[in-house]
Amino acid sequence: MIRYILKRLFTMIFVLLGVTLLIFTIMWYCPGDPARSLLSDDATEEQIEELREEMGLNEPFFVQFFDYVVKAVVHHDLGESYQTKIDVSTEIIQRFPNTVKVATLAVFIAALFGIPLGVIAAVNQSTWKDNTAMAVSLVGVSMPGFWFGLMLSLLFALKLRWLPASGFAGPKYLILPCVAIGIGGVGMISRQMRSSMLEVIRQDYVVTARAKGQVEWKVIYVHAFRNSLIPVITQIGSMFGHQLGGAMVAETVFSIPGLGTYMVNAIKARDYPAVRGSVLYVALVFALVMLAVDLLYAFIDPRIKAQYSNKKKRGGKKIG
Amino acid sequence: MADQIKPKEKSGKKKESMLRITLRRLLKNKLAAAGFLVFLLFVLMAVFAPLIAPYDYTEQNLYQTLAGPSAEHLCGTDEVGRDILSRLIYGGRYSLQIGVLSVVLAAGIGIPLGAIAGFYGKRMDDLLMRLMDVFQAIPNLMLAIALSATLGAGVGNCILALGITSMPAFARMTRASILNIRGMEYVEAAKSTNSNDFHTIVRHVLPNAMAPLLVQSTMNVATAILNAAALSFIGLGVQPPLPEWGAMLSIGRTYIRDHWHMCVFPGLTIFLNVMALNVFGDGLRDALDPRMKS
Repeated sequence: MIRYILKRLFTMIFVLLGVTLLIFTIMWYCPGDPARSLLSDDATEEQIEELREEMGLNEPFFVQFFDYVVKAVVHHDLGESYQTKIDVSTEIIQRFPNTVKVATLAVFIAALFGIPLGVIAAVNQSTWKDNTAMAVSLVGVSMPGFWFGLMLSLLFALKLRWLPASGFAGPKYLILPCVAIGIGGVGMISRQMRSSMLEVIRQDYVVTARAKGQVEWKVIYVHAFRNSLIPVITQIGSMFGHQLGGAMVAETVFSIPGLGTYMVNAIKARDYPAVRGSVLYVALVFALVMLAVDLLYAFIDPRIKAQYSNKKKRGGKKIG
Repeated sequence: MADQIKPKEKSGKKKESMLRITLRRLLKNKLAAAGFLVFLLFVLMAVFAPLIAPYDYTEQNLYQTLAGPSAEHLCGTDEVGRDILSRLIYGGRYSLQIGVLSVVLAAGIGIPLGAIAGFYGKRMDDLLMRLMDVFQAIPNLMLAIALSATLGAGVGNCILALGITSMPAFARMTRASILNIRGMEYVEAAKSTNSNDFHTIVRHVLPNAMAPLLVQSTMNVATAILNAAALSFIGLGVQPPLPEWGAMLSIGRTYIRDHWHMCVFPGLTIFLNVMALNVFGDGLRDALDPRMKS
């Protein structure tokens, strides 16, 4: 198991290096001159050139890239924001908890409604309950989250005045954005849960449980449910990882001071260090979340745990 | 005697093609057929927009700005008095074009890459899949936003950004399908007849790996429409005054407090299109699933 974790961490280093190179290349080709945009309109060409030199923008691509990687790895320095003149990592660390809060609650809402919906649909396959549950999930999957957010804010904030339309000053500010982001997740999780559950309830051990005379709710919740959760957990993990970087539009709609808003503003202002830093940070967290999800398998599914220990006993080298 | 004739009759029966079976199953699935019809309707409306739309999408009426829905303007008018329904009809030209062409681009790059990785395996597979890992380590929308910032706004750049973003999914799916297929007897048979690799992949391997890719493409058009709308919404995709649905929502957001119609109708149009594609995609998956074969 430890060998597997180390292997994954080792691979992650290369993936993150690749992400850095990719985002560095994308930003390198971004139009506009950061030095020129930082100075006022009446700045002379000499002043602009001086600033370019000072910022290291005249160095060749790979020199700048190597410099960036060394600073990021050795000094945890992601550069300084062109806009705010504050260290990018400091700003990211300040904003990241807000994004995590929104993502966690959104995924929680998605799982809270999506899992029961999927179970109901599977247990009552091809009945009106199944059709209704799947219709709800279809609406969830097809709904543009940011538009749903606008509609929620129109109804609950602007018309009924029950909840705030934007800002981030307390738990009630979280409700609308999290529901708006979570609706898509409800659809995805319920569909996954349904198909996974349908596969499991056809298994021999479920038939055996029924043949033994086990009551139906026990068959479903004790025998089938736990075993059908594994693919759903992967999806929840991946959804959480995506929400950390993908809820940018919803964050913008509700003016949440999270990483998404930070990146959107940075892109509009051509603040390259802020964009690079945000993407890199999200990629790192996303990779760690996916690793955690993989490890969680072992605790949920004894077969996977046994697979690791058998390989170890046999002295197997390759896992995964 | 009858026993002797029976097998002959059976073998004489014309074998139904996969395409025909799929179409028959799709037509049986009323929901999927409805989804396809709704999407087709939006496509036709976009194509024949000048004939269908009651007004031109640029026509302004400054005496009727921000007017609510009425018999004259079914979805109301915008901040410069343009008819929202007409703009939605014309807007399909941009939103649907981005949705479809970005998927064509993604499939056009992703499928060959996945086919090479799956067919050759070993180092080539490792190299290409690690490259895909890099792309997939960044959430799709985040990557699309970063690419759009570099490429600039506009329909073409939006297609490029979304196409590159969804390319790894196609590569991975093609690779997975080909890994299942490459050991099949007919592939071995093709190889043994000295068929070159390109011919084997294009003629024998890819056609048998197409089913999941077709479903993926349908679903991806829906996702691309959503992402294009999101990009335009934050000002990085198609720019106003072009009537792309996301761009219309972005403008409508400013007036949401008093003029709800500016936000509701563009959003509903996106929602209906995406739902139609999702329903059709679900039906297509069921129709192509060999386990459903009766």
